[in-house]
Amino acid sequence: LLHWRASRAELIAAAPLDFLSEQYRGSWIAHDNPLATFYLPQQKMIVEVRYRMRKPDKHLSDFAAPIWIRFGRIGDVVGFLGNIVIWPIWAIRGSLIDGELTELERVLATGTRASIVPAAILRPSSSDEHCDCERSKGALCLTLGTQSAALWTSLSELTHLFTSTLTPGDRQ
Amino acid sequence: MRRVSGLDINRWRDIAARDWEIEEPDVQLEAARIVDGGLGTVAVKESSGDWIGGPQALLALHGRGQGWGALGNSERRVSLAPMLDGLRSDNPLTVNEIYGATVNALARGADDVILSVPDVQDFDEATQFRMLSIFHRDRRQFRLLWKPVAAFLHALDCHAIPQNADGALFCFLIHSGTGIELQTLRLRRDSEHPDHVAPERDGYGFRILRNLGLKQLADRAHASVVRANPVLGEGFCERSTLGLRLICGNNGTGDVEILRLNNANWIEIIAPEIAEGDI
Repeated sequence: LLHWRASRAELIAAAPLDFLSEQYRGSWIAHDNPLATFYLPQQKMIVEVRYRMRKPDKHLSDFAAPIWIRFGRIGDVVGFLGNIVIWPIWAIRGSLIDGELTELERVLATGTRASIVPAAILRPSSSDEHCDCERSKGALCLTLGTQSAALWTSLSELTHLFTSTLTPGDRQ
Repeated sequence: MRRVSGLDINRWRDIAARDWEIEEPDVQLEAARIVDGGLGTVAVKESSGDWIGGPQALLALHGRGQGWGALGNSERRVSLAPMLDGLRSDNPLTVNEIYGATVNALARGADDVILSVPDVQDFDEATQFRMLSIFHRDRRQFRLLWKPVAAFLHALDCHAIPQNADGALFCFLIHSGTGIELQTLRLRRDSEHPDHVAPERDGYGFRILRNLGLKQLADRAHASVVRANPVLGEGFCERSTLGLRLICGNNGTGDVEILRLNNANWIEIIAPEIAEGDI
């Protein structure tokens, strides 16, 4: 996800990484949050990535999501524009789960105070050749592969998800 | 192969040099690998309580002001600049931890560490001993090397010193935080080993041109940045680092720096042109 527009992004801040000698709940690194804060010069925007927050805000913790991303405009007084929330879910069998998009929409409707703009569930893809994708307004279920079309199509779906949260002026 | 790292932790622009790679520690490189330790050394305290030094600390959000939330508390970020002064004082407690964190960050994977130190009167033997004693329980071997001697050895190594210069005097000027350190060394040939030459040292060097120290230059450059961006003078945002970056050539006129306001919003700072008269 950090890859998104990274070629044009500048790193403003990054939490130091501690490499663990044993994995802890599937992760080999420990760090404080936000993990990284980027500046997008073209859009004059800030992107903040928070990963596995230890003590998330009360409005956010109910969602139990590992990844929270938010955008902020430079020179704007409103602060951040809202959260993008992502659940990456590992499963041995790739592909989407029937009815997950509907369920996701129902979950999002219960917690409007978290100001979630869009939300996404990522699952492994069943093949490298294509990714599966179901989308509604503000919610996305997507499979992600490690290479070929399953990787690149998924990344452009994610790019679309992120940029759809910006106003036309921000996208340029 | 003993993996040696040579460090120059001068608190302004830190450098590490080694002739091996972390990934292939047993292969000796032909050219030295230079590790950039960044500008304006700091150490930061993570929420785990550990101090981190080096480039990761410079980039960290820790201690950068209340716009960054609880982690922005200024107690979490310590500049190494007053640190070596701390070595000379009677308060070396956190100093040891912070200096140690910086050494660890730049000398990762090393068996031996060589710390280059100023060759001036106020870095005397007592201070040298205190610096070494920070690491007295370390499994790595630590040695100190005077900076002008290090420069001399490098000049010999890359044949910058002519063959027949036996007995000649060489003057070394080293830019530091508080002026320019001047030391004069004589080239001596070992009478029993004619192939061996070494610098002969006759006491400490001197500190000259104190008004040209990097601290003064950086402070004056920072004042220019504040003049061009008056919002910085109001104390509503994190501290700009453009001043030091401008005099070290890491940024140029017109470059943009993004700073976080205390209310968590962001502003844009523009680097001014810094004329000779400004600094």
